[in-house]
Amino acid sequence: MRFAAEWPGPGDVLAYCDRSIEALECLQSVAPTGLSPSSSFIGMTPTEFEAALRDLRDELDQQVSMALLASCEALLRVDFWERVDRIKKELRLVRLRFKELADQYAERVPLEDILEVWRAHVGRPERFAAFQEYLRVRHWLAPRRGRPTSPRRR
Amino acid sequence: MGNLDGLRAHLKQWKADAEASATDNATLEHERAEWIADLASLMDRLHAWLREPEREGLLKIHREGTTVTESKYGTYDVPAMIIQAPGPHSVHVHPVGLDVIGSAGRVDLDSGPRKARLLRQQSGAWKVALPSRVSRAILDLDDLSEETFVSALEHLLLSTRSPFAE
Repeated sequence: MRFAAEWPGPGDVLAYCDRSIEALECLQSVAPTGLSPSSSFIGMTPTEFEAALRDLRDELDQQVSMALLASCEALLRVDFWERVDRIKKELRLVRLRFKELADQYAERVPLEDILEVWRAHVGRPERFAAFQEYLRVRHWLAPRRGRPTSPRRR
Repeated sequence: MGNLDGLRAHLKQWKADAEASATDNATLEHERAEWIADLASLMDRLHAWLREPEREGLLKIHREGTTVTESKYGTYDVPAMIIQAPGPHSVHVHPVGLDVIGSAGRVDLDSGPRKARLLRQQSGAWKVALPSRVSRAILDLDDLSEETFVSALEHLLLSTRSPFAE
């Protein structure tokens, strides 16, 4: 699968996150007097309401983490194919390595392999290590959302 | 870096707001006493609506007491009720608290995973709240009456019947 260039960018995802947090804060401030009579929050005790807000915030954090990583992956993959297809011509060594990956995996090049090429080219292994850690969290979140376990450390 | 003076100003404002809206102990005790009296009359009312099936031996009503603890009103005793239908089907009617959002008190009707709520209005009237069939984000509200109470009981009891029952 190739990614469309219209994929929401990381900035869009972060703006969504900021606005959602603002909406939650707004809900918190209007709850004592300003809710619709049929709101599902009506009748909640203060403890239940705080727990509901915490759950919403946790869910938002997970959604945003997934969307942010998907957005970054889309950027990397779009860039990958632009280099393979010679739309971007600079960084010849990177392009050659990408071409090898495209020949090896066709449309299903592992993201980790793309990152490895960039890590070898850019250096700064600590930043790539951090990104790999985020990817591990995503691999943990995607199939197991809601399970009370921790991501396994390698 | 955080500004402690700014934070202190907010804290002072919140403290002033809290003190301005705080009711004294006598008022809290009065509100609690009214709430408990309303609960007693509510339980009587609900029980009265079920006298007929109770006389026919179709339902057993257990009136009992329980305790509620709220940070604002402390720990106090309240009346509760178990409506026992034949077999393993029952509905627990138990007060949750007086300090709840958008309402002047809440009583829950629980039957396994199914729930309904009775919400006390500022006027003292009660409303029945069931999860909406349109959206999980809203509640369907009705004035409490014999009809709406029985309808809520049906929602709770009939949905607990075994899917394999004839």
